[in-house]
Amino acid sequence: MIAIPDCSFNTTENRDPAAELLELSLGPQHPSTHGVFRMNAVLDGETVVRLQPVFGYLHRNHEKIAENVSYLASIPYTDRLDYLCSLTNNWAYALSVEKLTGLDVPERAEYIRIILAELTRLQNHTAFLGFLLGDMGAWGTALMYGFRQREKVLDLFESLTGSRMMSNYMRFGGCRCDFPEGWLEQARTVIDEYPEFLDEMEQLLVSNEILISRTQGVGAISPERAINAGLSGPILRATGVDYDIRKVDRYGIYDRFSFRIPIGDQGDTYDRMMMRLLEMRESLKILKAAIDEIPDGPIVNPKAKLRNLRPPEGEAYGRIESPKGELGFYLISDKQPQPYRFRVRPPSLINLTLLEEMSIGHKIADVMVILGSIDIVLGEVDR
Amino acid sequence: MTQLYQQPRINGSIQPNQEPVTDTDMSLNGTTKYHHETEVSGIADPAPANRLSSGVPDAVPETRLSARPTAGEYGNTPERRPFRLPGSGIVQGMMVTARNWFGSYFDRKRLVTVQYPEQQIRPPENSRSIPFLVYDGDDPDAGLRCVACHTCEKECPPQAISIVGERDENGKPARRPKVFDIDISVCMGCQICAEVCPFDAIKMDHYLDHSSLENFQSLILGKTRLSKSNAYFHTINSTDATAVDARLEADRKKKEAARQKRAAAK
Amino acid sequence: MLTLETIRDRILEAVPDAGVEIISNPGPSGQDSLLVSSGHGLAIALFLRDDPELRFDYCSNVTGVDWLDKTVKEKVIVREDDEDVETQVERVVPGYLEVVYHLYSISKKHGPVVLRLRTADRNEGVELPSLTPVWKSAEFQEREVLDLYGIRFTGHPDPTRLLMWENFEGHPMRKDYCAPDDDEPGDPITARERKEEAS
Ligand code: SF4
Ligand code: SF4
Repeated sequence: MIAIPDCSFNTTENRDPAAELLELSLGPQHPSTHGVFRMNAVLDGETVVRLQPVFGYLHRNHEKIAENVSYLASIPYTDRLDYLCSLTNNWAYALSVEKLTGLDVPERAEYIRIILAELTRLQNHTAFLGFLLGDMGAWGTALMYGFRQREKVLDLFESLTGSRMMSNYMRFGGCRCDFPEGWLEQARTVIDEYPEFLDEMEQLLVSNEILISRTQGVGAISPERAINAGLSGPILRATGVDYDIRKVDRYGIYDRFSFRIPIGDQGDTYDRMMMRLLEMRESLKILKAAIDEIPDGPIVNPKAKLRNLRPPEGEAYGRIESPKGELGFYLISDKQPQPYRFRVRPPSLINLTLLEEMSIGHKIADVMVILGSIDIVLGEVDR
Repeated sequence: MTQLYQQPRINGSIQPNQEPVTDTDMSLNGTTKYHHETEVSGIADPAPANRLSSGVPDAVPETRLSARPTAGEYGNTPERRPFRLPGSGIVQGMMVTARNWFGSYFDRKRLVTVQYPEQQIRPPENSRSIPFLVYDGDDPDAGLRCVACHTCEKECPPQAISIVGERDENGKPARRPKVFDIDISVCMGCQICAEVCPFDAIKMDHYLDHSSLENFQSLILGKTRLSKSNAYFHTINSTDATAVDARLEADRKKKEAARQKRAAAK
Repeated sequence: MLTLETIRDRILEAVPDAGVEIISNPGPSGQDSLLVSSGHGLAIALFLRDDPELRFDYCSNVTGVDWLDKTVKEKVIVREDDEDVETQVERVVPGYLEVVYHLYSISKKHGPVVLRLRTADRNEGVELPSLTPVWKSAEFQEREVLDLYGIRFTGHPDPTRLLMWENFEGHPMRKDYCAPDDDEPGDPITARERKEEAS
């Protein structure tokens, strides 16, 4: 057995009172290219005693833009929120508008949405593993392996939606176009090859002693704090809270698939990482079943309007389980072609609420790892 | 001991004139159980409107999937700190990198890059960069399908398109664009213009190299630079192009038949 | 199954003389909301979170909405020269800012309950109690509302702007906000501007 260093907290009690605190501004570029994120950290030696995230470097007021354009024209803008998962963003927005207008979605379109959302989850978590290792200093290897695999999913996206990342694919009441020829077969090959990649990734990562000592016990949070702070997605479940919107809300047709929800027990960085690895295996199960069962039929509700959509007066909040957490859209319509209020509930921003609590008492180098394990995308944090 | 910084900041900063906020019930006090340990199956009963959707339906209990499962269930995921030789995890990882390194010399699966720009991978048919205008025949001016109906101009989300319709000598619209500009420094390649165009006149291109030495004016592409022949459209996306041709042909035939019918009726 | 009416009654039981009103939602989504008087906002939020049957322990979404002043035309009967004359008068309904909270319960797996708090007007009386002491998830989102809508939250631990910079003036998400024209003279013009110039 190797000794795992005890990450005991360094508090004011055992702090040398004569020692000076150092204020350090990290970013807005550095934190390992997660984007233009900045943190103001106060350090005692190498230990973090205070940490304040600073936002807004990528702010473009997406909500204001969306309140000035038609409902359709907002879809390409939602691609740019969390630019790794544009398809789930599309879905969350389409779902909210469908709630607002009371539109149904044909069965085949629901299947297509689930296939694409789970593929998005796969490629997001794959990229996440690479980025997390990059934050730990293993710069390159894991990221390149992850990207090599992710590229196969992106090829699928490109041949269907036309773009690797900015898909602009879901429409109110369905999807934009059907699969091109041979797409499902190609997707099946990618999915069949995925477990091999996951095995390799696990062999590379999860038993590595350096990784274990850098992640286990780092940035742990309790389930009560996590709930109170509104965390969602894998990092909420890593604390042991069983809450997955796919199971709770059963939006789309998720209730037809049998899959399990991974749950952590310590809420530390290691759990957060494992959560993603396990979730990918569950996504593969859903994908296999969905590709086998997908029925023929129309892909868009004939009642749906593409242009000049004027939903009836009212409001709706729709949310889905995006790879990052709970992604919600809150819309108020006043019967105009533009929404009166358009609000994005960004999981990346709210998941950062506890960043300070997670980081305090740890070394500054661990802050990068903790930040990486939250898995943020700045396009969504700043909007 | 860790309280000083671990304590949430909110507790320290509540104004005295407010009611105290207790955080006691936020703990798991035995009654609240966060692990419902279920597998939801069956068809959902949609929650009636105006009600709070009640929790989890009839559920088949299944064991909880933990992040630290016992080895075997999920590939080679180890338990937390299993007994093993120090350094064996690193050696295992090295084996993976070695396999990839040697594999990259002869295994197509591990050698995925090409020598760009000498070698280029053909993008899939649906791939898109920025839009172009399709013309039939050889004359880019006469064959242009666009009728300057302004639909795409209205729908373009960042308003990258600007159209001025041609007018004939009597001042009537000539169903032809005089100016058709796309500001490609604004265009985001979302293909909404191609989607809404009722005349299949604007389609998405594959061409990506739009760099220019000047920042603004040369990135506004005019009608001449945007017009490309239908033959070119066939080379980049033959599936769509064939479908569009068939559709236009059918339309033309229908119109022709209607005209003949009208002529016969006269 | 809890209806909004029972929740309202339970709130009124627990927090007497709190103003709670159900705002119905005419749209197909049917998500009605509870309008809560701002004076009792914190107490009601605490009750919703801690009541063993409700347990709304998860505050998912916090956002602002700006409702502008509205002019409504009304027909009134005025007595003129001993005769009832119907005339039209215009009345200004003052606008207000609104904060909307979407609450879910993770332990009970139900929700959402939509909570609304309204300010007195849009200029001076834009104070509301902060619910961050109850749900920490509101911390960043309330800062965002403060930033973009200009609602002052009393009791917020860090009432500063979230997205815009410190010295920024105005609140961009308000409906009557006009973005400053920051085009510099001699800036090259876009295709659209060129067209507008030509016409
Ligand atoms: S490209 Fe199509 S939509 Fe745009 S003006 Fe021409 S005909 Fe109309
Ligand atoms: S692709 Fe999108 S942004 Fe570009 S011109 Fe067409 S509608 Fe506008």
